[in-house]
Amino acid sequence: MIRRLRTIPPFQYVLVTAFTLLAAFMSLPIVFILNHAFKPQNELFLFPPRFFVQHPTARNFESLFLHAANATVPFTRYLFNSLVVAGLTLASVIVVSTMAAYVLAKYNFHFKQLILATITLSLMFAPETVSIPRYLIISGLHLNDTYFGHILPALASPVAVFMLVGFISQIPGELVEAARIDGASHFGIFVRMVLPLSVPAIATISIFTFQGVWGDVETSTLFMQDETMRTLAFYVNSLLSGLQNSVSGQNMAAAAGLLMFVPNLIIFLLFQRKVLETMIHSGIK
Amino acid sequence: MGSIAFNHVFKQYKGEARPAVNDFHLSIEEGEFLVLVGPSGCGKSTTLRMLAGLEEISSGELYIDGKFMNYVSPKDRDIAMVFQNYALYPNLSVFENIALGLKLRKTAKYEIELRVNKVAKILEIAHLLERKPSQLSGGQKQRVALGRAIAREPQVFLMDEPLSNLDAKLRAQTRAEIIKLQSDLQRTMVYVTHDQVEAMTMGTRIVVMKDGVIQQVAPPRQLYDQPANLFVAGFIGSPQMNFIPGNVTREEGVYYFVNKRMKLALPPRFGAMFDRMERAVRNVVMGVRPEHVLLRRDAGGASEDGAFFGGVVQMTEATGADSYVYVNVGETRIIARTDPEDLYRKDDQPGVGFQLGKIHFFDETTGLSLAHGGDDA
Repeated sequence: MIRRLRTIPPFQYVLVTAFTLLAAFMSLPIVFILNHAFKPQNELFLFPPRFFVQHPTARNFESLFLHAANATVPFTRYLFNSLVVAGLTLASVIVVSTMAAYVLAKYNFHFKQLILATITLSLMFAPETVSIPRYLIISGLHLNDTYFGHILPALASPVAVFMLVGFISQIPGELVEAARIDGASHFGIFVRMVLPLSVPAIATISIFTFQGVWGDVETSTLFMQDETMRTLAFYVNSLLSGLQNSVSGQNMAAAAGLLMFVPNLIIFLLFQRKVLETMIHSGIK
Repeated sequence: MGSIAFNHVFKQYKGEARPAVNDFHLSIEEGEFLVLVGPSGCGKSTTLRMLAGLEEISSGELYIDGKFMNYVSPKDRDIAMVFQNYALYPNLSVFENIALGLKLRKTAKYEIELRVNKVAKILEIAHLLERKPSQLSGGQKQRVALGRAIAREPQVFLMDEPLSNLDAKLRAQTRAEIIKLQSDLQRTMVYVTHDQVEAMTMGTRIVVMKDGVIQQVAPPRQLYDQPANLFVAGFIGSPQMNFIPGNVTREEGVYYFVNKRMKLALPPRFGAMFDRMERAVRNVVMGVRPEHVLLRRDAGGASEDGAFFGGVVQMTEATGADSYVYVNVGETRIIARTDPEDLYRKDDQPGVGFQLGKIHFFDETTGLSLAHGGDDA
């Protein structure tokens, strides 16, 4: 190993060092969140603040869960809601986006360019601008206080479709044609060829879709009047905003921060490996 | 089983002035090895894709086995196709690649095993069945693609430049294998290529296309000996046929080919042919293949009266078995095939003559063939 390092030219050595340092720097927030969640009350308010925890404790989580238990809706209900919403959204976004992208990438039909242009255009809208139309649609469909009210706004994901169209276009047309001659139906080609070959792109859209849904408070705030239908992100958010001036609440906030962050990390690590694996083995190019 | 008929088939793409395939009218017999050849953009691939059902037919009719096929989907045409880039399913193993077509046709599992193994044995890829396409070399991928086509046992095989991604040696080898395969299977094969060597060696009949129009349909030998027009004459054969513009004149019952530097008395058989055409003097292009050009060292620009004319060697190309000498006679460049031992150097001045029994005449304006030296007069 050392011998290998020595063969690296000096410039590359500098480069590797610089990037390693940069990577370490970028990971600081993660390290901080991890440490912060386990700091006892006195360490949280230490000045100057310390990065690493001195006397780790699980009390923060304990008080978070206990505080939640005192509320009308238990903590686990929020967690359950979040898991259901994130899971269903992820699944339905993948199904809808891949199907839409396959059709847009591999078939010719009237108004195809118009549809593509509309999708690209919708990428440019800030989420705030569509809040009111979204609300009107959700309430018009009577989806307030249902899981569909959480899922529907995320379902049409222009970014996902846009990315997948780009990716699926790169699958050679001959592959689809060969499958057609072999006797595969349109749906068969989609399931047997397009889906497996799109795994890297699907993994990528999964990562950002999950992150978007997991951290989203808009649907809970706007469309859910029933507290039992709101998600963990909303709960943590209201906890934090309610605790802004409260010294005693900071420990709960630290623990909640970690709880919100961990699933993102897990999903990211899970899918990131898939992205790389598939790119190596697919042999598309 | 496996006969194909194109009945005045056209393919017109939207927004393009001229049709990609223009009045393709041809019947292909059962068991025939038909090669479509032409430069890129000549419509040969489009024709094949219409036959496969991957492109719609703009007008005209297509019959396979006497059945009207225009609107039949590719999977129901009983065809198999091999693509230029192989189009193997990258996510499936070699076995699954070959088996997919059978599986989708609900073939019994043991029969799939049986057929895949049989095909793998024929193509010598039995040891690769568990691998993924990305782990195969180009030649192996090609075999798998062939195997995928064979396993289905279709009536018609379609091949779209299947060898063009292979290196020269492998290409020659695979070419021989495909020829053998076709004669073993006795199935109709339609093969598209831009390579005239492939066309000449493989096809029992060759269709030469240009700009969407069929130029000539003939067996290889006939295509070479009696090209229908200037395009076919120039396209088939390498190096290409020499074209020498000039006039045909008649003096005292003898026909002469005349241009600025040459006056060539033509054998009586040409006379008979030109007589039949009833037009004594016209602008023509004389075509001579390099192997029918004669070089004579001692002529040196002397005997202008007869068959030999003075030329200047520009360069020589030695390919090993033959060498090709590029000679200028006046403005006209003529390529001659010579024995490699017969060395010509730049600026040598040999006499250039022609085997008069092997020359061709084409109409200069229409490009159509007027007379072939090999024709029976």
